Amino acid sequence: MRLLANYVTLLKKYLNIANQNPIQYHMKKEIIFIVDDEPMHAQMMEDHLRAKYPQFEIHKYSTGEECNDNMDKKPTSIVLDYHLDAVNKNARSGLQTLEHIKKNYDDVDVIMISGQDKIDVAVECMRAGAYDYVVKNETSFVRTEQAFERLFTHRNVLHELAHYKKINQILIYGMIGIIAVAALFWAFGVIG
Amino acid sequence: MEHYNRINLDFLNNFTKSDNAKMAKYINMFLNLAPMSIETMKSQHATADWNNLRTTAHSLKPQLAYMGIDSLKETIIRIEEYAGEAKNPDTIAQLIDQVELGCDEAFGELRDVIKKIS
Repeated sequence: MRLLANYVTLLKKYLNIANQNPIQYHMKKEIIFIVDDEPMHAQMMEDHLRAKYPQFEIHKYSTGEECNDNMDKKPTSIVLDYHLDAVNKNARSGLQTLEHIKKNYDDVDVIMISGQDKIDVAVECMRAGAYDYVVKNETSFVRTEQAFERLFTHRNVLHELAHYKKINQILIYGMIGIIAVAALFWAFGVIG
Repeated sequence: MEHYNRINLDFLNNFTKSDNAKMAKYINMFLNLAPMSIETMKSQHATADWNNLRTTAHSLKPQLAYMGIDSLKETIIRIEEYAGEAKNPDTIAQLIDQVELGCDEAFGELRDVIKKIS
Protein backbone atom coordinates (compact mmCIF):
# COMPACT_ATOMS: atom_id res chain seq x y z
CA MET A 1 0.00 0.00 0.00
CA ARG A 2 2.84 2.39 0.92
CA LEU A 3 4.51 1.70 -2.42
CA LEU A 4 1.25 2.51 -4.21
CA ALA A 5 0.83 5.75 -2.19
CA ASN A 6 4.40 6.82 -3.07
CA TYR A 7 3.73 6.06 -6.72
CA VAL A 8 0.53 8.16 -6.71
CA THR A 9 2.37 11.09 -4.98
CA LEU A 10 5.12 10.95 -7.59
CA LEU A 11 2.58 10.95 -10.43
CA LYS A 12 0.73 13.90 -8.87
CA LYS A 13 4.02 15.85 -8.60
CA TYR A 14 4.84 15.25 -12.26
CA LEU A 15 1.30 16.05 -13.39
CA ASN A 16 1.56 19.37 -11.51
CA ILE A 17 4.78 20.19 -13.42
CA ALA A 18 3.13 19.18 -16.71
CA ASN A 19 0.31 21.68 -16.08
CA GLN A 20 2.65 24.66 -15.59
CA ASN A 21 3.11 27.14 -18.43
CA PRO A 22 6.86 26.99 -19.13
CA ILE A 23 7.04 30.66 -20.21
CA GLN A 24 5.30 32.05 -17.12
CA TYR A 25 7.31 29.69 -14.97
CA HIS A 26 10.54 31.28 -16.15
CA MET A 27 9.65 34.98 -16.51
CA LYS A 28 8.47 35.54 -12.93
CA LYS A 29 11.88 34.68 -11.51
CA GLU A 30 14.06 37.28 -13.27
CA ILE A 31 16.55 39.31 -11.19
CA ILE A 32 18.64 41.79 -13.20
CA PHE A 33 21.83 43.60 -12.16
CA ILE A 34 22.94 46.74 -14.03
CA VAL A 35 26.67 47.32 -13.47
CA ASP A 36 27.87 50.63 -14.91
CA ASP A 37 30.01 53.43 -13.45
CA GLU A 38 28.45 56.05 -15.73
CA PRO A 39 25.49 57.27 -13.60
CA MET A 40 23.50 58.71 -16.46
CA HIS A 41 23.59 55.65 -18.68
CA ALA A 42 22.96 53.35 -15.69
CA GLN A 43 19.92 55.41 -14.63
CA MET A 44 18.51 55.49 -18.16
CA MET A 45 19.01 51.74 -18.53
CA GLU A 46 17.32 51.09 -15.18
CA ASP A 47 14.34 53.32 -16.08
CA HIS A 48 14.02 51.68 -19.50
CA LEU A 49 14.11 48.11 -18.17
CA ARG A 50 11.74 48.94 -15.27
CA ALA A 51 9.23 50.37 -17.73
CA LYS A 52 9.57 47.38 -20.02
CA TYR A 53 9.63 44.65 -17.34
CA PRO A 54 7.82 45.98 -14.25
CA GLN A 55 7.61 42.48 -12.76
CA PHE A 56 11.40 42.05 -12.60
CA GLU A 57 13.67 42.81 -9.68
CA ILE A 58 16.40 45.25 -10.80
CA HIS A 59 19.51 46.30 -8.86
CA LYS A 60 22.11 48.87 -9.96
CA TYR A 61 25.83 48.87 -9.03
CA SER A 62 28.70 51.07 -10.12
CA THR A 63 31.62 48.63 -9.77
CA GLY A 64 32.41 45.00 -10.48
CA GLU A 65 33.41 44.59 -6.83
CA GLU A 66 29.98 45.81 -5.67
CA CYS A 67 28.31 43.44 -8.13
CA ASN A 68 30.37 40.55 -6.78
CA ASP A 69 29.49 41.43 -3.16
CA ASN A 70 25.78 41.18 -4.05
CA MET A 71 25.82 37.89 -5.93
CA ASP A 72 23.95 36.33 -2.99
CA LYS A 73 20.83 38.08 -4.37
CA LYS A 74 21.11 35.41 -7.10
CA PRO A 75 20.83 37.52 -10.28
CA THR A 76 19.63 35.67 -13.37
CA SER A 77 21.19 38.16 -15.77
CA ILE A 78 23.60 41.09 -15.66
CA VAL A 79 23.95 44.13 -17.93
CA LEU A 80 27.65 44.85 -17.57
CA ASP A 81 29.70 47.82 -18.79
CA TYR A 82 32.99 46.92 -20.50
CA HIS A 83 34.77 49.92 -18.94
CA LEU A 84 34.18 50.02 -15.20
CA ASP A 85 37.22 52.11 -14.47
CA ALA A 86 36.15 55.46 -15.98
CA VAL A 87 35.55 56.99 -12.53
CA ASN A 88 37.66 54.83 -10.22
CA LYS A 89 40.85 54.03 -12.12
CA ASN A 90 41.73 51.17 -9.77
CA ALA A 91 38.37 49.41 -10.14
CA ARG A 92 38.10 45.95 -11.68
CA SER A 93 37.37 46.24 -15.43
CA GLY A 94 34.14 44.99 -16.98
CA LEU A 95 35.99 42.19 -18.75
CA GLN A 96 37.62 41.02 -15.51
CA THR A 97 34.18 41.13 -13.84
CA LEU A 98 32.71 39.09 -16.71
CA GLU A 99 35.45 36.47 -16.39
CA HIS A 100 34.90 36.27 -12.62
CA ILE A 101 31.10 35.84 -13.06
CA LYS A 102 31.41 33.14 -15.72
CA LYS A 103 34.00 31.28 -13.65
CA ASN A 104 31.94 31.28 -10.43
CA TYR A 105 28.30 31.70 -11.57
CA ASP A 106 28.13 30.11 -15.01
CA ASP A 107 24.30 30.05 -15.14
CA VAL A 108 24.10 33.89 -14.92
CA ASP A 109 23.75 35.44 -18.40
CA VAL A 110 25.75 38.60 -19.08
CA ILE A 111 24.94 41.26 -21.68
CA MET A 112 28.03 43.44 -22.21
CA ILE A 113 27.67 47.15 -23.01
CA SER A 114 30.44 49.35 -24.36
CA GLY A 115 31.04 52.55 -26.29
CA GLN A 116 33.56 50.52 -28.30
CA ASP A 117 32.13 49.56 -31.67
CA LYS A 118 35.28 47.61 -32.60
CA ILE A 119 34.58 44.00 -33.53
CA ASP A 120 37.67 42.84 -31.54
CA VAL A 121 36.10 44.04 -28.28
CA ALA A 122 32.82 42.27 -29.04
CA VAL A 123 34.66 39.04 -29.93
CA GLU A 124 36.74 39.31 -26.74
CA CYS A 125 33.54 39.60 -24.64
CA MET A 126 31.77 36.74 -26.40
CA ARG A 127 34.83 34.52 -25.97
CA ALA A 128 34.83 35.34 -22.26
CA GLY A 129 31.26 34.03 -22.05
CA ALA A 130 29.01 37.07 -22.64
CA TYR A 131 25.54 36.20 -23.96
CA ASP A 132 25.44 39.33 -26.15
CA TYR A 133 27.28 42.59 -26.85
CA VAL A 134 25.59 45.99 -27.21
CA VAL A 135 27.27 49.24 -28.32
CA LYS A 136 26.63 52.12 -25.90
CA ASN A 137 24.83 54.90 -27.78
CA GLU A 138 21.26 56.13 -28.30
CA THR A 139 20.16 52.69 -29.55
CA SER A 140 21.66 50.72 -26.65
CA PHE A 141 18.45 50.70 -24.60
CA VAL A 142 16.33 49.16 -27.35
CA ARG A 143 19.16 46.80 -28.31
CA THR A 144 19.54 45.63 -24.71
CA GLU A 145 15.79 45.00 -24.57
CA GLN A 146 16.09 42.97 -27.81
CA ALA A 147 18.99 41.01 -26.30
CA PHE A 148 16.79 40.21 -23.28
CA GLU A 149 13.97 39.02 -25.55
CA ARG A 150 16.39 36.66 -27.32
CA LEU A 151 17.73 35.50 -23.97
CA PHE A 152 14.24 34.76 -22.62
CA THR A 153 13.30 32.86 -25.78
CA HIS A 154 16.51 30.84 -25.50
CA ARG A 155 15.87 30.10 -21.81
CA ASN A 156 12.27 29.12 -22.49
CA VAL A 157 13.36 26.65 -25.15
CA LEU A 158 15.75 25.07 -22.64
CA HIS A 159 13.03 25.08 -19.99
CA GLU A 160 10.51 23.52 -22.37
CA LEU A 161 12.99 20.77 -23.22
CA ALA A 162 13.36 19.98 -19.51
CA HIS A 163 9.56 20.17 -19.18
CA TYR A 164 8.93 17.64 -21.96
CA LYS A 165 11.65 15.40 -20.56
CA LYS A 166 9.64 15.28 -17.33
CA ILE A 167 6.44 14.50 -19.25
CA ASN A 168 8.30 11.60 -20.88
CA GLN A 169 9.22 10.38 -17.41
CA ILE A 170 5.52 10.56 -16.41
CA LEU A 171 4.62 8.38 -19.38
CA ILE A 172 7.38 5.89 -18.55
CA TYR A 173 6.33 5.71 -14.86
CA GLY A 174 2.69 5.33 -15.99
CA MET A 175 3.58 2.44 -18.29
CA ILE A 176 5.63 0.76 -15.56
CA GLY A 177 2.66 1.12 -13.18
CA ILE A 178 0.22 -0.39 -15.68
CA ILE A 179 2.59 -3.27 -16.43
CA ALA A 180 3.13 -3.88 -12.68
CA VAL A 181 -0.64 -3.94 -11.99
CA ALA A 182 -1.23 -6.21 -14.98
CA ALA A 183 1.55 -8.52 -13.75
CA LEU A 184 -0.04 -8.65 -10.25
CA PHE A 185 -3.45 -9.46 -11.71
CA TRP A 186 -1.86 -12.11 -13.89
CA ALA A 187 0.07 -13.58 -10.93
CA PHE A 188 -3.12 -13.86 -8.85
CA GLY A 189 -4.96 -15.44 -11.76
CA VAL A 190 -7.34 -12.55 -12.43
CA ILE A 191 -6.16 -12.34 -16.04
CA GLY A 192 -5.94 -15.43 -18.25
CA MET B 1 10.03 72.39 -28.79
CA GLU B 2 12.10 75.46 -29.64
CA HIS B 3 15.03 75.08 -32.04
CA TYR B 4 18.50 75.26 -30.45
CA ASN B 5 21.90 75.51 -32.11
CA ARG B 6 23.87 73.03 -30.00
CA ILE B 7 21.35 70.55 -28.67
CA ASN B 8 18.72 68.32 -30.21
CA LEU B 9 16.38 66.67 -27.74
CA ASP B 10 14.57 64.37 -30.20
CA PHE B 11 16.15 61.26 -28.67
CA LEU B 12 15.43 62.34 -25.09
CA ASN B 13 11.84 63.27 -26.01
CA ASN B 14 11.37 59.87 -27.57
CA PHE B 15 13.11 58.00 -24.74
CA THR B 16 11.06 59.72 -22.02
CA LYS B 17 7.86 59.72 -24.13
CA SER B 18 7.86 63.51 -23.62
CA ASP B 19 7.66 63.14 -19.82
CA ASN B 20 8.97 66.54 -18.63
CA ALA B 21 9.97 65.29 -15.15
CA LYS B 22 12.10 62.52 -16.65
CA MET B 23 13.59 64.90 -19.24
CA ALA B 24 14.56 67.32 -16.48
CA LYS B 25 16.08 64.46 -14.45
CA TYR B 26 18.40 63.37 -17.28
CA ILE B 27 19.28 66.94 -18.32
CA ASN B 28 20.20 67.78 -14.71
CA MET B 29 22.34 64.65 -14.50
CA PHE B 30 24.15 65.75 -17.66
CA LEU B 31 24.58 69.30 -16.32
CA ASN B 32 26.19 67.86 -13.17
CA LEU B 33 28.35 65.19 -14.81
CA ALA B 34 29.63 66.75 -18.06
CA PRO B 35 31.51 69.74 -16.49
CA MET B 36 33.29 67.28 -14.17
CA SER B 37 34.30 65.13 -17.16
CA ILE B 38 35.68 68.19 -18.98
CA GLU B 39 37.68 69.28 -15.92
CA THR B 40 38.98 65.70 -15.55
CA MET B 41 40.06 65.66 -19.23
CA LYS B 42 41.92 68.96 -18.74
CA SER B 43 43.81 67.71 -15.69
CA GLN B 44 44.59 64.37 -17.38
CA HIS B 45 45.95 66.28 -20.37
CA ALA B 46 48.09 68.44 -18.06
CA THR B 47 49.63 65.31 -16.50
CA ALA B 48 49.91 63.46 -19.84
CA ASP B 49 47.67 60.72 -18.44
CA TRP B 50 46.69 59.58 -21.95
CA ASN B 51 45.08 56.26 -21.14
CA ASN B 52 42.71 57.74 -18.57
CA LEU B 53 42.05 60.74 -20.80
CA ARG B 54 40.90 58.32 -23.50
CA THR B 55 38.57 56.59 -21.00
CA THR B 56 37.09 59.92 -19.82
CA ALA B 57 36.47 61.07 -23.41
CA HIS B 58 34.99 57.66 -24.14
CA SER B 59 32.51 57.93 -21.26
CA LEU B 60 31.50 61.49 -22.21
CA LYS B 61 30.69 60.43 -25.78
CA PRO B 62 27.30 58.72 -25.14
CA GLN B 63 26.22 61.53 -22.78
CA LEU B 64 26.72 64.08 -25.57
CA ALA B 65 24.75 61.81 -27.90
CA TYR B 66 21.77 61.62 -25.48
CA MET B 67 21.60 65.45 -25.43
CA GLY B 68 21.88 65.54 -29.22
CA ILE B 69 25.14 67.55 -29.18
CA ASP B 70 26.14 66.05 -32.51
CA SER B 71 28.50 68.89 -33.46
CA LEU B 72 31.00 67.61 -30.84
CA LYS B 73 30.80 63.94 -31.80
CA GLU B 74 33.79 63.97 -34.17
CA THR B 75 35.81 66.14 -31.76
CA ILE B 76 35.37 63.73 -28.86
CA ILE B 77 36.18 60.75 -31.11
CA ARG B 78 39.43 62.47 -32.17
CA ILE B 79 40.37 63.12 -28.53
CA GLU B 80 39.75 59.45 -27.79
CA GLU B 81 41.87 58.35 -30.77
CA TYR B 82 44.79 60.72 -30.18
CA ALA B 83 44.84 60.00 -26.45
CA GLY B 84 44.75 56.26 -27.19
CA GLU B 85 47.83 56.70 -29.38
CA ALA B 86 49.43 59.19 -26.93
CA LYS B 87 50.17 61.62 -29.75
CA ASN B 88 49.41 65.22 -30.79
CA PRO B 89 49.18 66.68 -27.25
CA ASP B 90 48.76 70.22 -28.62
CA THR B 91 45.92 69.16 -30.90
CA ILE B 92 44.30 67.29 -27.98
CA ALA B 93 44.43 70.52 -25.92
CA GLN B 94 42.71 72.42 -28.74
CA LEU B 95 40.07 69.68 -29.09
CA ILE B 96 39.35 69.75 -25.35
CA ASP B 97 38.92 73.53 -25.61
CA GLN B 98 36.45 73.00 -28.47
CA VAL B 99 34.50 70.50 -26.35
CA GLU B 100 34.45 72.92 -23.40
CA LEU B 101 33.28 75.81 -25.57
CA GLY B 102 30.61 73.74 -27.31
CA CYS B 103 29.41 72.26 -24.03
CA ASP B 104 29.20 75.73 -22.40
CA GLU B 105 26.78 76.78 -25.14
CA ALA B 106 24.88 73.48 -24.79
CA PHE B 107 24.66 73.92 -20.98
CA GLY B 108 23.04 77.33 -21.49
CA GLU B 109 20.50 75.87 -23.92
CA LEU B 110 19.76 72.96 -21.61
CA ARG B 111 19.19 75.30 -18.65
CA ASP B 112 16.76 77.17 -20.84
CA VAL B 113 14.94 73.90 -21.60
CA ILE B 114 14.77 73.09 -17.86
CA LYS B 115 13.22 76.51 -17.17
CA LYS B 116 10.58 75.97 -19.85
CA ILE B 117 9.57 72.44 -18.83
CA SER B 118 9.68 72.88 -15.05
